[in-house]
Amino acid sequence: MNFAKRAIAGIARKQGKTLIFLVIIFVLGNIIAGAVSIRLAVTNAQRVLSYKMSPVASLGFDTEKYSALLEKNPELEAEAVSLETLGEIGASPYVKYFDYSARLVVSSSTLTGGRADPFFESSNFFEFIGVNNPELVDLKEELIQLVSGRVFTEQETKDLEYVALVPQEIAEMNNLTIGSVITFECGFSYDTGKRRPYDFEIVGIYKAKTMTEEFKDGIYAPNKVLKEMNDLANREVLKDPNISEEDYQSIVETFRIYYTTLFILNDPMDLEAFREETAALVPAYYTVTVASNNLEKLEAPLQSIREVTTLVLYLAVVAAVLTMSLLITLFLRDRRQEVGIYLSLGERKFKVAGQILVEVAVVALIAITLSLFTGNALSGVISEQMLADQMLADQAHESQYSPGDYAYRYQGATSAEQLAEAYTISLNMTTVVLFYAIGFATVCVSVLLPIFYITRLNPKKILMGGEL
Amino acid sequence: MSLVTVSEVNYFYADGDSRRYILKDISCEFERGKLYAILGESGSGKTTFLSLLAALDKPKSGKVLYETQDISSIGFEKFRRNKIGIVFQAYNLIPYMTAAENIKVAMSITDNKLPKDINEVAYNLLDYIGLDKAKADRTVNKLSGGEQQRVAIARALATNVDVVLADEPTGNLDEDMENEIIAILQKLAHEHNKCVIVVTHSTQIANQADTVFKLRKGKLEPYER
Repeated sequence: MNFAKRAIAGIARKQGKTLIFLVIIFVLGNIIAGAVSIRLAVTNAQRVLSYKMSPVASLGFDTEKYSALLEKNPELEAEAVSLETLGEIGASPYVKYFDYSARLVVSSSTLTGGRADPFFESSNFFEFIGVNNPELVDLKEELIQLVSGRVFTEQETKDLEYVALVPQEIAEMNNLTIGSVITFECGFSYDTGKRRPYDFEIVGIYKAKTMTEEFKDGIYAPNKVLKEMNDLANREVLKDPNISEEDYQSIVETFRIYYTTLFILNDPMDLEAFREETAALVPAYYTVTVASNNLEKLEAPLQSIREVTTLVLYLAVVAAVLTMSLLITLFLRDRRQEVGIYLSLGERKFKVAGQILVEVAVVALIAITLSLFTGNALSGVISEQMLADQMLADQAHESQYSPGDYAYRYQGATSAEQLAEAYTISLNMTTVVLFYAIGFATVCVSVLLPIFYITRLNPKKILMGGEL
Repeated sequence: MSLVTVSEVNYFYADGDSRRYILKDISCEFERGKLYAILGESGSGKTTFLSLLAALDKPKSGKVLYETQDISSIGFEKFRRNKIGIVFQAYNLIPYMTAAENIKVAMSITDNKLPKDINEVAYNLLDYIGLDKAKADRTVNKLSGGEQQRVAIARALATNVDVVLADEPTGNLDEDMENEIIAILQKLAHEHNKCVIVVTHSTQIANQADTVFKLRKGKLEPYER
């Protein structure tokens, strides 16, 4: 009957006390297990989000600031950023991929599956996404997946080659394959008959993976082609005798081709350095917008949950330590005589303490193991509701970018839905190890007071009372 | 040769500047093979004296020697573990354990060399003091007072010690049971060469003891029967 066997006998034969102790540890264990699971799920979700959130930066013109200054100084001029400057920024060592993109909306009288456009009261419009980098950054960053065919060649992006990558859905709807030729019409006349037709050869068919909804049916084509189509459309407008000079200028301004930029950095930690470096190269009123701003917003509900669960975890551990310490000490007071007997028999105090520790640890092991499963399951239900409430409360997921911006696609790739998807409560090894570590650390701290109590016990006083 | 020697032991409680002596200048010797009885009225210091012999307390001055070694140099805990067995008036058995388990607890604590099969030793010991296997396997709170005291005596012997100390071992027992316990204690001293020291009110034990001392006003005196 060494101290460990005595401990087991104590557990088995003092069933009432064992049960009370088991229930208390189980209840507290559930709270701790829940808090641990939620914290790990939050950490995991944040990691998943930051993986999904590419270190994206975009160059934008600060219209608000410029307009404000323009009111004070009507002669204020703003210089546009040149393609050369963009190239220089793109060559920065911080940058992994760089591209700039024109966007152009065209119609097609031969293809089906286009979008409605309220301006033209038609339902067959397609959006072109301009590409300068033949590697196709969206493909590299896995926003899309190539189903068949290929990406553009260097030559196709430099020369005026009418080639396109179309979405799988449109290809299937129109029985298109690699090598098929599709026709679009482009022009700014309200008379569709006056629009110029353009034939594109399909070189690739893609499927959107994580791209935001607005771009899922976009057609990739070289920027150069889109610019040419836009310029020709402008010239068509110029030729139209029905258009006045004033209207023409307005149309040219409205339909001028814009490029939006995209810089994918090697490391999200470089975003600030990149922002500083870029600010020195670009003309006044241009700013670098980074996607991490949005990540912070997206992470806000997670952060709230993390703070709540951290508090709950600390409180539960403190409550567990206090409750268990007092309970064990109380139970020990009932067993003073037993401890006195061991001490009178010459048992070493550390072994008596060891017996108490084993008794507590075995019951705790059972209770902790049970609460690991129940706490994990309960925390799943509770925290998902908390997350949903938080997301509802923090509806601040507006993008840092405008929908026309290239980087907007990347912004949309990490949506609130993905946040919910990334947030999963699971019983993985980290949860189990961390929970057992916290559980047993709590048990060890809880037995300190009872052990101190044991060291103060005097067997003479216990067994011989106050007798002389 | 004496096994336990008490040399000029004093025990007192300090009360401000004054001292209230419980034991004063006590010296005596205890040998193997003898049953000693220490008589005294309530409050005479019998239990204190036994607690000093049992290393449950320290004398304020003086020494208790085991063979020739001061028990404080052996270490009180170690002394209790390996050199003595104690029998209490209130038995002091672990209530949720069986009689045999109570014996085995003591055997697991001592550093003394014991036979390998401690189960067999425990049952044999209990059988020797009059408890069969059925009773040996009962939890002790299901045994009578006399049976529990037998278990306590068996526990004191289980660690193969030479000194058995008993504090009013028959105090809670009826006369028949008292005689049986006295017989066991005598047997331990005379047949097993143990040094058995009993503190008691019982004149019956005193009558059966080989040597009797009486504690009076803190002094230990030989008692003439």
